[in-house]
Parts: sequence; C-alpha cells; structure tokens
Amino acid sequence: MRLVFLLLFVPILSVAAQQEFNRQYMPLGPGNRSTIVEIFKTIGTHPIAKGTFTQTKKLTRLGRSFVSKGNFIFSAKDGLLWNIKTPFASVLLMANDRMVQRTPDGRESVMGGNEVFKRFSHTIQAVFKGDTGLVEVEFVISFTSVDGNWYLKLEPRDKSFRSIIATMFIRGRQFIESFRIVESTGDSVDYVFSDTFFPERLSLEEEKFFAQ
Amino acid sequence: MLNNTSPSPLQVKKPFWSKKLIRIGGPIVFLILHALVALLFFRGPLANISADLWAVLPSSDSQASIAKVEKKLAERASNTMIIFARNPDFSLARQATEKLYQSIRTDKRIEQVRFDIKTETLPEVNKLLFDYRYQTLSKDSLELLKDGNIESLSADVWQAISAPVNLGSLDYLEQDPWLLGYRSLRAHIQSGLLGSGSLSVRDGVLAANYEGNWYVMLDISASESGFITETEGNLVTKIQAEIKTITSQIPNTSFVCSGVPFHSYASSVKTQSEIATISTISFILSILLLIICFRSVIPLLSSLITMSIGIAVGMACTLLVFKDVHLFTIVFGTSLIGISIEYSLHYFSEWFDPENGRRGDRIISKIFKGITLGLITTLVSYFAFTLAPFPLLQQIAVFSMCGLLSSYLAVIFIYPLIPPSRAKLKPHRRVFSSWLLRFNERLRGLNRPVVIIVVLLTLAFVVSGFLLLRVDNNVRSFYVMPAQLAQDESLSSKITGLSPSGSYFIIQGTSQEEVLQKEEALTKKLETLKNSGVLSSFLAASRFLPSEARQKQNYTLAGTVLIPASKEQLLTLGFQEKSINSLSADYKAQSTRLLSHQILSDTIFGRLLKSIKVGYMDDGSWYNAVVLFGVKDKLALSTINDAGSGIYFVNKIDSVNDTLASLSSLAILILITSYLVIFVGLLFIYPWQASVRIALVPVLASVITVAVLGISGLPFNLFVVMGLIMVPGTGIDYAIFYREGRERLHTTILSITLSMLTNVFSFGLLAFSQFAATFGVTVGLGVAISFILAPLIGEQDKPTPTVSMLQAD
Repeated sequence: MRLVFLLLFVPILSVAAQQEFNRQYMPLGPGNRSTIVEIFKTIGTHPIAKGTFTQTKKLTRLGRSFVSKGNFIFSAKDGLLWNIKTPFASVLLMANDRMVQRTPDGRESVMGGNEVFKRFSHTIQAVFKGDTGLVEVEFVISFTSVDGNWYLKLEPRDKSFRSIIATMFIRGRQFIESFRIVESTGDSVDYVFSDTFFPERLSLEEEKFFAQ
Repeated sequence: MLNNTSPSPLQVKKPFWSKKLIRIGGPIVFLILHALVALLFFRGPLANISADLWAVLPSSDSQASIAKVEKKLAERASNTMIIFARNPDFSLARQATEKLYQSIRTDKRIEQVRFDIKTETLPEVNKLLFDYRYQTLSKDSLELLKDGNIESLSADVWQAISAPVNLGSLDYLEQDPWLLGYRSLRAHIQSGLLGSGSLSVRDGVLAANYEGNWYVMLDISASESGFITETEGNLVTKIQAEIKTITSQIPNTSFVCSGVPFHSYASSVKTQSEIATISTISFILSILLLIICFRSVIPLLSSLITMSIGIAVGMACTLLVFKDVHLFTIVFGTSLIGISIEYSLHYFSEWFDPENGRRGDRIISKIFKGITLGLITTLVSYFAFTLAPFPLLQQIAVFSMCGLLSSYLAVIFIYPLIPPSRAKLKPHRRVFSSWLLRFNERLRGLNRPVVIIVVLLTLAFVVSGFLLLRVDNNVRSFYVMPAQLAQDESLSSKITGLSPSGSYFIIQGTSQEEVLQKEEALTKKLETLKNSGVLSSFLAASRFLPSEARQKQNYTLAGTVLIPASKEQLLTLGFQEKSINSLSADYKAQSTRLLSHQILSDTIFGRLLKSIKVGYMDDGSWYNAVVLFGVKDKLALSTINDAGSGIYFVNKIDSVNDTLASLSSLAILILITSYLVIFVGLLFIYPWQASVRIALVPVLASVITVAVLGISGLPFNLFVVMGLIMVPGTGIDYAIFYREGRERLHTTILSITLSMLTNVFSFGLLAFSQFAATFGVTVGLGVAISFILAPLIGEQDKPTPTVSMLQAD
C-alpha cells in the first residue's frame, strides 16, 4: 500500500511544488523592504503554531522522491518540532542550540555540535518567529507576491552554508503555508502545511517533549 | 698515607713540570686536543642552539624505545601553532586571518598552513566512507548489527530521508540502502573528529563565535620549531611582526596565539635577555676585580681567553655529542665554566709572588693539588649526570666537564709559558688579606661559651631551615608563561574544545596491524572511561582506520545480517529487483577491499593520522599514540597502563615531575658518593683528621645553604642539588689552599677571595634569572659560606695563621 502511494502520488506532488516557486523574484530593496518586514511581522504574531505537514524529499540523482507526513508544533520559545507519523514514526526537534532526531525506540541522534545544522535550525526558527534581521544576516532575500500569496527566496550568504543549502523558498499568507529547501546537490525537500492553528499555550506533554 | 707536610716553595728543587717532556709535551697535548675538538666541531653541525621547551624535559619512561617515541611526538608538538584572528565582525576576523595566511604561506620555514576548508572535503569523506561502508562500520551500526536489529537500521534510513537537510549525501541510497557510509560520516561529525569545540566551517574557514567575538583559525605546522640561531630568524618573530601590521590595518582586531613554538620563543627571548644582562654585569665586575688586584693586562687577558676557550670547547663537545645545545645549557654551562677563572686566579696570585722565582713550573707545583682536587671533585659529580635520563642535565654535564677540563689544561700546560711578571704585589693588595685574617683571628679568639652559643644558634638555624624546607620538583617552574600567552592558551583550548592534558597512550606492536588491534581494545576501555567522565575525548587512529581484522569482521557481519534483508529494504525504498542483484554483486566484489594508511593519506583523516601515527622505530616495533583530551582522573587512566602488552600511559607533566624528583634523589646520592670519593682521595694525601676537616667545609656550607633556602621559602629541587654539586668543587679547593698556602698567605687569601668573588658574581647573579634562580642562589651561598668556613675549620690542626704571619710574609 505504502509503495503504491509513493509511486503514484509523489511525482505529482513534487512537480507541483517545483512549479509553485518557479517565479520572478525581486531583490530586497527600499521599494519592498517595508512589505517584507510587514510579512515577517505578521508571521511573528503567532508565538505558537500547530498543524499538519506533508514533506516531499526529492533525490535527483536517484530520480526518486519520498513523502513523509505528520504534525508540527512551533513554539517561539522552544523551537520547532516535527512529529513524523508516516511512513516511519520519528521526531525531529529543531531547538535553539541543537537539532535532534528521535526514533520511537528512544534512540537519539544529536546534530547540535554542527554549525550548519545549528544555523539551519536557527534560520527556520527565525522565519517562523518573523525575525527579519536574523534571516537577512544569513540570507540574501528576494521577494514576489501573487494573488495574495507572498513568496520569499532565501540564498545563503556563507559559502559553507551554501555548500549544503543552495536556496530556500517560502510561501504564505497570514502564516507560512509551504516552503522548499534546495540542496547544493540538486536534491530538494518540500513542506506543505495544512490545518494550521495558533493555540495560546503548549500542553504540558508538549512542553515536556521540547524539554527532553 | 702521604706526608701531609707540603714542601716549601723554595724546597722544590725540580718540580716535575720543569721536566722537558712535560714542558714541551703538555702544550702540544693541549693544542692537539683542542685542534681535534675544533676539527670535529667544524665538520659537524654548526651552532644549533635549541630553545625548544619540550626538548629540555626528561623522558618520562625509562624504556629507551618509548623515550624515543615520546621525543618524536614532542618534536611534532613543537612544530604546531594555532592562531585565531579575533574581531566582533566575522568578515573582518576572516580578512585578518587571510592576510596573515597570505603573508606567511610561502615561507620556507612552514611545512603546512591551513586557512580555508575546501567545500569538497565533506563530499570526499562521504564518498570514502561509502566506498568502505562494510569495512568501517560506525560504533552504533556495529551494535545494531550485532543485535540483528534490522528494524532500527531501517527506521534510521527513513529518519535520514525525512530530515530537512542532510550533511551526507543520500545519492548512494541504492547501493547503500542501510546508509552505512552516511552513518559513519554522522558518527565522525558527532565525535568531533571533523570539527571540535565551538569551531565549525563558516564561509570556507574554521571559525567560532565565542563571547561576542568571532575567531577565525589558522593552523600552522612549522618545518623547524625551537631551533634558533638568531631571534630575527625565528618564524615566530615574523608572525608577530605580521600580526602587528594587520592589527594596525583592521580595526578591533587582535590575535590569539597558541602552541609550543610561541612558548619556546618567549622563553628563549627571556633567557637570552637574562644571559646578556647577567653575563655583562658578571663580566664587568670580574674585569674590575682583576684590574684592581693585578693592575696588569696579562692575568685579565689570560683568564678571559681561557674562559672563552673553555666555553667554546664546552659548546663544541655538547654539539658533537647531542647535535644541538639548549639555551638553558648555555645559562648553566657558562656559569659553571666561570669556575675555570678560579684556576687562573690561583695561578696569577702566585705569578706575582717573587718567591716563586717567576717560574711557571714552580707555581704549578704549588697550586696543582688544589686545582686538581677541585677539578676532580666537579668531574666526579658531573660524570654521573651524563647517565641520567634528562637531556638538559646530560648536556650541562658534558658542557661543563669539557669546558672545565680545557681551562684546567690551559692553566697547567699553557700558563707556565707566559713570560715572568716584572711587577710585584703592592702592599695595598694585602689590605684585604690582613682584614680577613684579623676577622678570622677574632673568630678563633672567641671564648668557649660564645663559640658554643654560635654553634647552637647555627644548629637551631639549620634545624628550622630543614623543617621549613619545601621539596618541589615541578617542571612548570622551568618556565613561567607570560600572562598574555597563558590567556591565549586558555582561550584557544576553550574555542577548540581540546584541552591538552599532556597525557597520552603509546601503543607498541610488531606490525601496524597489531598496533591497531591493541588500540581497538584500548579505545573500548577509553569509551567506558569517557562515559564515566574520566576524560572528554580522545584521538585514536583506529577510529577512522580499523585494523584489517576488524574490517574483515565488519564485512562478514554486514554480509550475514544485512545482505539477506537488503531485498526488502530496497523494495520499501522503491527500488527495483535489478538493484538487489547489483547490491549483492557489489558486496561480493568488496570481499578483499581494505582501507589502508595509503588510501587515507590524502584525506582529512590522513592529516589527523599523521599527527598520531609514530610508525616504525629502530627497535623493530611499530607505534601509535592515542591522544587524550580533558582528562579529569589520571589515576583511572594509569590503571589501563600495561607495558607487558605494549600499552604505555604517558602522563608527561606528572611523570616529568616524578622523574625530576627521582633525579634529585639520584643527584643527592651522587653528591654523597662524590664526597666519599673525595674524602677517600684526601686520605691518601692528608691524615684522617685533616681530611675530615677539609671535607667538612663544603658539607657544612651545603647544609647551611639548604637551611637558608628553607628559611627563605625557596624550593628544594633538582637545581638546588645541582648547585650543591658545585659547592665541594670550590669549598674543598678553599680549604686545601688555606692549608697548602699558609706559608704564602697573602697570595692564598688573594686568590681565594678573588675566586669567591668571581663565583659569587657569576652564580649569585643567576639568582635574578627565571630559570636558574635556585641554582644561582645555592652556588652563590655555598661558595660564600665555604669561603668563611675554610680558614675556620679546614686547618684547625695547624698553627693558626695570624696577621703577624702575614706581615712576616
């Protein structure tokens, strides 16, 4: 069943995502700076966000794509948690000082010491927090908007960072609705968010999860 | 026993120096010996003066082969420097580091300098670990495979796939559906092997953000380290000059410098400056003294030439034996050779005496016994030190023995050739002799109760001095880090996360393979200790180059557990049947594939391996080092030491301190033995009571000196014992001269006083140096006290010399 799903739907999703971000972007400048600051400000009004996501990873050289699904929890204070449900359960925590992957049997893989992971984690959190300044330090920002959707193109300034991530694309309206990471190898990963809502606080269980 | 009565100078009808054979043969022998030394010296290495701080340390292991391995590792450490440019702005810190890199990268004294990290490094490592994925399983992969835990391995693959970013490539997924290569890469990154501490690759360089500043790293391996022929020629001088220029060009920039070459340089600059100051003052004082007393250029020139030749011979012999001479050897050696001036002074004090008939052979007859015993005393003491496992001590011994012997031979063979003096001692030169004799007379004239009180007070002083004595053989006292350098070292270890412990393991084996196998067994234990907080990390070759046996085991295990399950894994990942066949064929094709040193040589692992691989040594064994970081419990690590199995724990600082303490004990034994040898020698010349009195002079002087050290809070260490070894050489000399020269007291007292003063000038001034302070204090005090005690104790069985005797004389 899983195999059928992968074979049928993944190529469709992947092509759609690729086309979505294939647009004409304008570099950040005096003309659009205030718009972008406003966009980030809007995103930042939600210190907590929850929802579901679909992730599509495309390995270009293998010509294969892999889809994962699950829930996400964003907390401006604690970080971003990806609770992957299918095809294999696992948790990815992007905290302020570390990036941790955890399997259901309790095994952990901590990538905290690595600067690229750390910066990636910081950047994603900065985007979710609506921190324009931090994003601008790390990336060259370009912008466009179509039909009430805004699109951001982020290109790393640092060549070491660039050797891992070539470009990031983000689309949203009131909050981030999808984003795409293109690796320097040409591989990419697309996230599409749905059912996003903004609770006032985390549950105790969720807080514990972040604290672990 | 020989008769203790020395013949009067006038009774010496035919001294053996007057024999033609000696008169002509002696100078010829002197010239031939010195010509030989000069010839050998100029054919060998010229003026290699080392300031390397590691090179001065004794080997901490008594086994010769391990000592050689230690030396090789120390030499490697001596060549490495790490420099960080610091600036709150990353791009400026990077710019500053790049400027320094550009200014030094073509310098021929630099073997390698690393500034930018290629972006291809990680893909290269990724590819290498993929190629050898079955042979070089990571620790966690191995554990899962041993447990047959296929599910977890599969879950990890999906975890990697679902990660938003991957450091390693997933391109090999079809050939490596368990991501074994990816897992190895991740393990290396997590272990800190591909980056450590706060450091990480940023904009193509290794950088860290620490307490609000950016630090960009420059890693330098020098082709030469502590060897200096001139300060201006030192690589550190060039680096410091460039740093000065860069900091003036880029605002808010400073540099953090760490590594042995910086310390060796700082130490050498300080030592050179101390040598220059002390020797200049000592030289001027000695010259003034000679001019005032002799008012003739002949004694002055002769003494200086003799001393200079002595230093040159000492230096040449040390270079011939050791290939280089350490700066500290020169500090000690030149002071010791200062004793040689004593021989000259004895000669020239007699030379001015008309009673000697102005004949060199007659003068030599008078002073021969004194200076020969003094020389033998020193040579006996120092010969034993050539056997001690402490390069510095061996060098000082060779330097001093050869230098002193040269000066001695010059006095007995060359000085008699100097034309007789026309000058005569003027009465004012006797003023001091008279004053000293009066002082002695008064001391001797003290009534018994006063003497008893003085003796008791001295005894109380000695007892309290010994009770307060602090034995401290700390190698750190060799060199006190300049404050800035100490701060830099501390900051550098915080940034790199590698806190050097000075501890490591040396692994010995009959082949590289055996070394790696032993290392694997050791690292297993180290992992356990790491988990219990004994150490923070370690660097071992087997972490990236498993032994062949381990590689074969890994390959077999992967084949047994993974290959049968690979079909399902590949299908789950969406691959076709053909991928399964290809994977099985690829696995079989790898049956003889093994990762080797050669394959690793051009990779980042190869560079790491180079720093810890010792290789083949001439004892027929292979060696590797396992370097330990952040050690908190050395005792726990020392329990792993198993010399029988070729696992040696080296705790450099503590072992060196222990070795210094053992050497101190050995030196004390040598000192006692040399006293016994000297005493037995004296018994052949003097009655036993006189022999005891003569020997008592330096013994009591040494005891009082040690008590003074105790009272003043100075440490008792190897350098003190080395200083004490110098005391009998002069103390016995003084006692014998007082005894032998009582018939010509004015010359005797003059020569002894001049000798004491020149010794106090040269040694006493060393007390103001950093490295040789305790040595200088010990010798200076010992000599001064011997000078006071010699007339009081050394000749009690003879009629007391009086001022009237002096006047009659």
